[in-house]
Amino acid sequence: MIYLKSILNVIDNSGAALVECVNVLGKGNKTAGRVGDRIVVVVQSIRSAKLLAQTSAQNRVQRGDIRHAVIVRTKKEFQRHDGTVVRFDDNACVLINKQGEPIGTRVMGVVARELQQGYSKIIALAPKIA
Amino acid sequence: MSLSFLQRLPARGFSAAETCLTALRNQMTTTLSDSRHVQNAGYQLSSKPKKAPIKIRQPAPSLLPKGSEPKQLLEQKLTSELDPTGWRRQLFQRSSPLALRPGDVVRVHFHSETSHTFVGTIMVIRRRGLDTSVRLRSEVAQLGVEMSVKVYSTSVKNFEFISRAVKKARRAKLYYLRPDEKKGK
Repeated sequence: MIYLKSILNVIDNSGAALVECVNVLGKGNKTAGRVGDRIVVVVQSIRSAKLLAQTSAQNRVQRGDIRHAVIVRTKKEFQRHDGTVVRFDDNACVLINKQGEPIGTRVMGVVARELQQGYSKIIALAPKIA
Repeated sequence: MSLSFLQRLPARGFSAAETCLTALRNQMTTTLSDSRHVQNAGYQLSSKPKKAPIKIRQPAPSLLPKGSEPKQLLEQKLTSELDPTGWRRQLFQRSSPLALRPGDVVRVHFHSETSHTFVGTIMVIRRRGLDTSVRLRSEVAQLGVEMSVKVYSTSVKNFEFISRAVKKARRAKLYYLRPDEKKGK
């Protein structure tokens, strides 16, 4: 359940480390964001320069930037159509541009299978899918 | 009511009371203008048409034999459909020799194009007959992931037993395997 003021981990190499959710897009008023939802975020903290070597200077984000992101993991459990219930140990997102493509070039960690609809590029980059 | 009518009545030897009553009745009969009055009217009875009688339907013939338990019959029917060979019951019935226990490591194989599997330690076995589910916990890329799988789901192909718990868990539900949030990661 991601909504205003939720802090999420960023699991790509765009430069951001932690972001704060400001708005959940495409949903009704006061509806929480779930895995696969698009959100507007403010970058709160950035990663060290070593990790950012692969990202171009254009794509690198700064503290205070407002970006779009897609939720890839939630601590709140979600249910699949076959009755399986999945829960991660943290909330995480991947920064995207207005067209829905990831800003970074790498994704670290696990992402949820629900991203297959609409975010196939992130699924392709992800090392593990749960 | 005037008493002048008494002068108009024939003198035939009726008693005073009877005379009064008759006169009263006559007077009331003539004063009532509504033609639908009933005999002893000081009020009007409604004469609406009577409603059609309510039909009482006979109960439909029972689909099940009398004295049978519908819920049990349904559970038996579904169990024979979803688990004909009985391997799911063998894995999750307490008394079975192959029974899984909390703490065991198990791999679930799903029916999917990508041959989706999930390995994990059994945290919780929630026994509810056909609604039995098992909660598995594992570390995927240094992150804890929990998955609660419905045992009788048709999307579950197989539970592959990997290893027994090192030491028998002294709890039925191993929620303590989750990281403690307060102490920090």
